[in-house]
Amino acid sequence: MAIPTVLLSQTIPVAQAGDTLETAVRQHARLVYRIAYSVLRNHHDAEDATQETFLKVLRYGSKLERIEDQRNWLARIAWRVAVDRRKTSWRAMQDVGPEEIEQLRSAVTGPDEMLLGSEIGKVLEKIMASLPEKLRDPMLLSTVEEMTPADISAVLGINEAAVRSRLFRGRQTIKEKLQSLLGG
Amino acid sequence: MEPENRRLEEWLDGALKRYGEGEPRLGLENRILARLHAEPARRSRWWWPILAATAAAALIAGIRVSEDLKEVPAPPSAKAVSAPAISKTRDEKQIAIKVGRRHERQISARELTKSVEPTQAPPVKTDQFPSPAPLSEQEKMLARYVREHYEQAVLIARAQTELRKRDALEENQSTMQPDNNSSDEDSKEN
Repeated sequence: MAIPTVLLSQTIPVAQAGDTLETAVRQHARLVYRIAYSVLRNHHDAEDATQETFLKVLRYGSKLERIEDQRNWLARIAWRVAVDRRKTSWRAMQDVGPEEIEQLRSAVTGPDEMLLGSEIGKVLEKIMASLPEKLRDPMLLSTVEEMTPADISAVLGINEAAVRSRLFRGRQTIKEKLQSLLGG
Repeated sequence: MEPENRRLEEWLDGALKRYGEGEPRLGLENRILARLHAEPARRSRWWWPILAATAAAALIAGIRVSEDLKEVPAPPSAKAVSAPAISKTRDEKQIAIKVGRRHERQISARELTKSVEPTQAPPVKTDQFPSPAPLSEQEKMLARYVREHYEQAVLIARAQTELRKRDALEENQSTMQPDNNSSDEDSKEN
């Protein structure tokens, strides 16, 4: 069901602003969704966060046209909305049970190591949660395919070199945690 | 150790890639656009109750003002003076309406009756405000007398004022004396 451009234009004081917003939705809705999903880890919540992000954008009205880098601007709003929505605290790695460790071991060392089921995803989620915020935030954003270190630096408001450094350290920490889990 | 480490690296790459693969349901963009389309309509409706309340208040205020303008008492007329009994009741009603509008709950019945003078004539509703009222016969005679005998009229007016002042003074003194007298009488009786 396609929404006619004219209809959307009526919703915003300036018709051009309506077009701009519709263009922004068409171009960046998936990116916004993926950022939200990387934080919320739930399709329903991620879609709600995406809707909320664009509702916030709607309030900008005609100011939207003046924003130079709409993509990163939207990514920043999406990140903030998703983090605010994540009411539950990050589950700590201590929650990883023996069954999950066994699945992880078979996934990494077994013949079908690339078969990554949802259970393994949950283990990685818990390992991510155990990371300090400084490392966790860039790591989460780096899992979004479209996000480069430059984009992550724009969203988090830190320089690109710091992002690269944190990504490296985050990855090292995850590896160490995985090794300790598998070794135990 | 090295191959195991490489396997772990590869597994981590795949796991992290998979971690971020959250595909939305089909039609995400259209759902967002539909929501955005519905939102301003919802937001634009918030001022309707305020508008309705303001309009109602303005209407009520308008009605009250027009009523007040209609009910302002007109100057006395000769016709009204000729019926003192009716005029008193009409006058009371009129004052009650006029004063009641402003201080409805403050004014007491006593104040109301005090403010009503029997000589006051009832108001007669006219189209013009203030109502044109011709001079009465007595007023005409008085005006003629002042015009013809100005100095005498001034002297009489001064004398009357003096007399009124003296009367008031005497009245004040007489109100003070009876208390003293009565106390003396009481003491004599005892």
